[in-house]
Amino acid sequence: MNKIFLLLFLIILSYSQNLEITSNHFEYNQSSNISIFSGDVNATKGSDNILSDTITLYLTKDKKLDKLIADGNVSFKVKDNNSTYIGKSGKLTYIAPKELFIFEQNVHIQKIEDKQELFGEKVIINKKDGTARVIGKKHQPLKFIIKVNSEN
Amino acid sequence: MDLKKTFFLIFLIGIIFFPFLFSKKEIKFEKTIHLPNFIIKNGSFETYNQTIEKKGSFVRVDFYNKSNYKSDNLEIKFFDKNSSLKAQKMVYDGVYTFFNGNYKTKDYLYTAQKSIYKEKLKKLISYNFEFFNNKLDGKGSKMVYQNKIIKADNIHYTIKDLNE
Repeated sequence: MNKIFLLLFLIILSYSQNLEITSNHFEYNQSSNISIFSGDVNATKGSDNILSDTITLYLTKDKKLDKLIADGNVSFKVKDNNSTYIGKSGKLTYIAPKELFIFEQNVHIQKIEDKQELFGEKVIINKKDGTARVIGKKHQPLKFIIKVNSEN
Repeated sequence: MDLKKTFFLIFLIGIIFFPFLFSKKEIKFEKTIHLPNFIIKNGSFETYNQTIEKKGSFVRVDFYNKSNYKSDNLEIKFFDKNSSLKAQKMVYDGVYTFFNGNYKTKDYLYTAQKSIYKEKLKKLISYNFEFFNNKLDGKGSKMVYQNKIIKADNIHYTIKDLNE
């Protein structure tokens, strides 16, 4: 399971391509360098895609990405050569300098090809050290669904 | 009858040659408290405030209602801001309206099908705009800029090469 997540987030975080965002509304504050996209937000990087109600971008003074927050009905789809991952969460935060991904609020991630699934309240992925941490709700255990081949 | 004919001829000649004479004429507005010097000459103009601030050209300017005017193929270079503005048409009637214009600085290029600039409020409203920069591009159906805040509708925004 860890291999799945590591692969998934290595793909997500390999941000060497352009990031394209479309939305119904946009607001940018020149003083704080904060951009807010709202209404049917669609963020695409190559074949990877995030949909959400809002996306807030925090850029550095030289227009580099510092932090990205997708908030409200977040869903994503990520592909590599062999696999497709889809997921949902209430919120997604990416902290660029630390290369840290934080999924929050009813996180559900699924690998399409073999139906492996993960449910949790919070998933934290650190690309730098290649670690993943999954946190469940209080009084509600984590849930992993791994499809096992029953044929011997 | 001859006198009437003579007056009519003078009147006709006046109508025919007025635009020509006007375009050749140098109009200089003397410095006032509120306005810098402004010079129009042969389809070009310059403004001064101690040193030259703007220099531009236009194919044609029509004045109406005393202070209102419209100009075709306008080009302005802003020396104080190191930038330039081009517009297929600009109309001034209390606010500036630009059609098919672009504004270029050393950092970015901004184009819009129509832009309205309210000088007193320092507010810019653009329709069908595009923005190009070496780090990011953007385009949308409407954009409002005031007090260092941009609001836009139906935007398509691209951040180039995130890791670089």
